[in-house]
Amino acid sequence: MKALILTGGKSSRMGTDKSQLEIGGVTLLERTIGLIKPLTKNIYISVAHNDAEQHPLPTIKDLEPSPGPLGGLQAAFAHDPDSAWLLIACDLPKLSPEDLSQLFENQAKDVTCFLNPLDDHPEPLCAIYAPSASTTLNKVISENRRCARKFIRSLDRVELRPSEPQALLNLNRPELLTELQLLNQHGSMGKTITIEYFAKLSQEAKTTREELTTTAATLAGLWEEVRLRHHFSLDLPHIKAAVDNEFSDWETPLKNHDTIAFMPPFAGG
Amino acid sequence: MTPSPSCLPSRVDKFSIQESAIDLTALRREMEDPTCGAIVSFEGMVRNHHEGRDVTALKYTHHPLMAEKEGQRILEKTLEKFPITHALAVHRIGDLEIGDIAVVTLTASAHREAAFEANRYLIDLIKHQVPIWKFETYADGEQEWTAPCQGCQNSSNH
Repeated sequence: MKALILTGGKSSRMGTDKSQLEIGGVTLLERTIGLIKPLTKNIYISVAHNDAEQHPLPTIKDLEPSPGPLGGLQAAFAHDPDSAWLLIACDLPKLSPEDLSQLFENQAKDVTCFLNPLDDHPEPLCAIYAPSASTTLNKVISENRRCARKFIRSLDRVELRPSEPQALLNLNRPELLTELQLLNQHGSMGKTITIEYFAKLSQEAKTTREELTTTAATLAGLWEEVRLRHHFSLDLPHIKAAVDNEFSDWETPLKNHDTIAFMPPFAGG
Repeated sequence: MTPSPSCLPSRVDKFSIQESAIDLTALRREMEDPTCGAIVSFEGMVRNHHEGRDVTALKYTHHPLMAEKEGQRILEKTLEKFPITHALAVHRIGDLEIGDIAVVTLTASAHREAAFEANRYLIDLIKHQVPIWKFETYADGEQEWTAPCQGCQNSSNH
């Protein structure tokens, strides 16, 4: 097995190169490399087709401009069509060495992957793709169907469960950095939280109020958890959160027995 | 000359939420002040269409513990920011009919300019920052929680 690390380049939502963000004094890229090393020495970094920068590891260039994560995988199979490829995003700071070993040891079928415990969907950017996956891959790319989530669902899969609910939480928003730093500092601690949903959110969650036990550390982590579970149609930038009836920042740490309100865009007047 | 505090009716300088119909005449009377040469009044009405669809009925809901508090904060901010004497706002919740007044903002000042500017500021902030939501019923029977229009999300000019 060989591994291809997706660094995501300059993430528009994060406004920065995610791979260089530090959690617990280690960059996300260094941490990801450390996780993979016990499993294979053949680790590559996925880079743009015209990349000219220095990298700590060998790179595999995209075959075309901005092809998305599936384009990275396509370039990997072009590099070595006979190897299985671990395709892994660098922004999974809660992924453990045990999780990755589990993936490695259970390899079979077209793809070996995790079901994300938060929404029960197969996770495409932390999965081992067998050479047999490349035929479907080339087909979907030629048809310009580049959604990695749809692609993985079209493959014959081994689906595994990761060690903890937030194992696949990805750092896709700046608001989640504090969440991940706190989880790293203090570990996952269970808290009992009451959540109130308003307007469209109560319609989608099919409840105005729920009590739950969560290991999320901040409001952003809690929102990410319930967003995936209830399949909310709105994302974090459109939501306002309140703790005990006061508007609060997404970085606010959760305390046991907090009452949290999640509110969709206001529409008075 | 400012009237003595005991003469000031209860809803002046307050943001309130109510289920019953808004009595604009009564509210305007409460705002009267001999030092003020201008009262600007904005009425937000329930209209019969939204983004090309015919609206037949409408319901407003609110966060029961936060809406009035946030509205009051905005009203006080308006009073601080503009040289106005008084401001008042009322928003309705519950079931409303087409043509009903959904929200009223009143601002009073010595000269008209401040009252106009403050009123515009006040209603824009109320729309964007007070946790109130609108549930519309359309002529085809569909019902939907309404998102603020794109223009409202992008600027304060709507």
